[in-house]
Amino acid sequence: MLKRPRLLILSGQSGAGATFVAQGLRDGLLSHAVTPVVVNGSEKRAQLEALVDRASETAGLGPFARELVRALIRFDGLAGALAASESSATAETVIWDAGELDSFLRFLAVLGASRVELAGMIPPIAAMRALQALPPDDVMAWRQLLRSLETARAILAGDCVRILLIVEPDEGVDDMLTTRLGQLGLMRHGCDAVIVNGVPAQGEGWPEPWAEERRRRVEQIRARGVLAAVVHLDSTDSAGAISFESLAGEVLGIGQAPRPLADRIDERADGGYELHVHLPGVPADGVRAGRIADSLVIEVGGMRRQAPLMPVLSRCVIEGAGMRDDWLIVRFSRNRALWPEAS
Amino acid sequence: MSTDDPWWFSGPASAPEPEGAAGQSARGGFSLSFLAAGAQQIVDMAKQALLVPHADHDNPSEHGECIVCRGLVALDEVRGRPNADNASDTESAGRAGSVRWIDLDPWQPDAPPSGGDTDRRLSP
Repeated sequence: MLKRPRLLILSGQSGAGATFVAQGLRDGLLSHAVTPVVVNGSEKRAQLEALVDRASETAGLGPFARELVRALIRFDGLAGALAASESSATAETVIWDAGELDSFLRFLAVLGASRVELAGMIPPIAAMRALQALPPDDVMAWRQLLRSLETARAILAGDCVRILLIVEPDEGVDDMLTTRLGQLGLMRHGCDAVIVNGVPAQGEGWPEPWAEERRRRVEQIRARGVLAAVVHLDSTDSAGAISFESLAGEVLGIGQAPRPLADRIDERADGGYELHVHLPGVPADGVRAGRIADSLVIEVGGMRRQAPLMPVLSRCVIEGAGMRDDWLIVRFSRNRALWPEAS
Repeated sequence: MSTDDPWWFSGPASAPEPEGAAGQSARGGFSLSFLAAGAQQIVDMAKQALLVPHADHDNPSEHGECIVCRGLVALDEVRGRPNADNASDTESAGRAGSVRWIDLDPWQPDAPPSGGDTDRRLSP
């Protein structure tokens, strides 16, 4: 059964109109008797900055360490996700204007970070001591923040989320989508629909062949098998309202696209291992893979995800890797120095 | 719990205190496990925030916006040697924090499909 979307995440190329579409979609949903809340995280970001600054000061951090901590809140996505998760407790539907796609993808990488063994950047006891000295209101705020992050993680992993990419039908949109869809897959998410903003409607006197070319690019996107909804270039306010009402109807009916399958590890007969990472839709020449310490780094179109290797693979050396269909397969052999039982 | 105990101390190990849904102890303070989980999350985020963007910065002097690069440059200055501008390739490759890239095999379109359930060993 199709679950109705409760969190609509809108993100796109810079200047593609994510904020414009978010506002229009809100109005359009109202006409479908759905009352949405639009969040963008700007207010939450200021609160986060103040909170982190006070904690840094309380902990007695020096300027360099404070800058390290502040690096955490450079992610616009963090503030937006917190706002979205808090709004989801009361709102029927939340539209999260996640803004620029690079920022959103980086946030997904952060949120998807595994809970690894403490490697020691900040010993937990230090964090406890800092918290101990904080005013009670701030302690409550931190607790709420951590809860909200967990909520955001759970919501994003759920099936009531729809990720909508906002694009303009400009030249190069097809290549851009190839890269962006691959990057979403890299972050273990997917694009549920593409919203093409600024498509000239037929019969409204837009200059040809410019208008025809933009309409043709919408068909190119659909030919990829991706659901594409259209926001027409507005010739009048009423036409714009009709366009968003129609868009809202389409969005309510969008199902969640399949997400990448979980990673898999196979043990070979010779004692080595193969790690299979599902990267649907990523062209073979668009992938790089590498190792940094005990983590595997995968890059798609310049965007990287770093994931800690599970213990059995961290005791291995990488023999090689390659793409097979939609899978990146990384081959490992045992590092004799770290497998004394195998000698 | 005596009044001398720190506020976050949730009780002796022999008498564990029940936790609320969000890790708050019944006495109103944080439990250690809740704090540790929160600190762990912050550590994870910090690592992602700092190390992943830094990973492709081969020459720290060219990435003034990256705090890790600035730290490396500062370290080099303290050590009295120039930064990676003059470092050998071997030195660069060996520096902590740089990615060792893998040469990928030529594409194989007709390989058997992969798939299946998650392997438990993948969970860190």
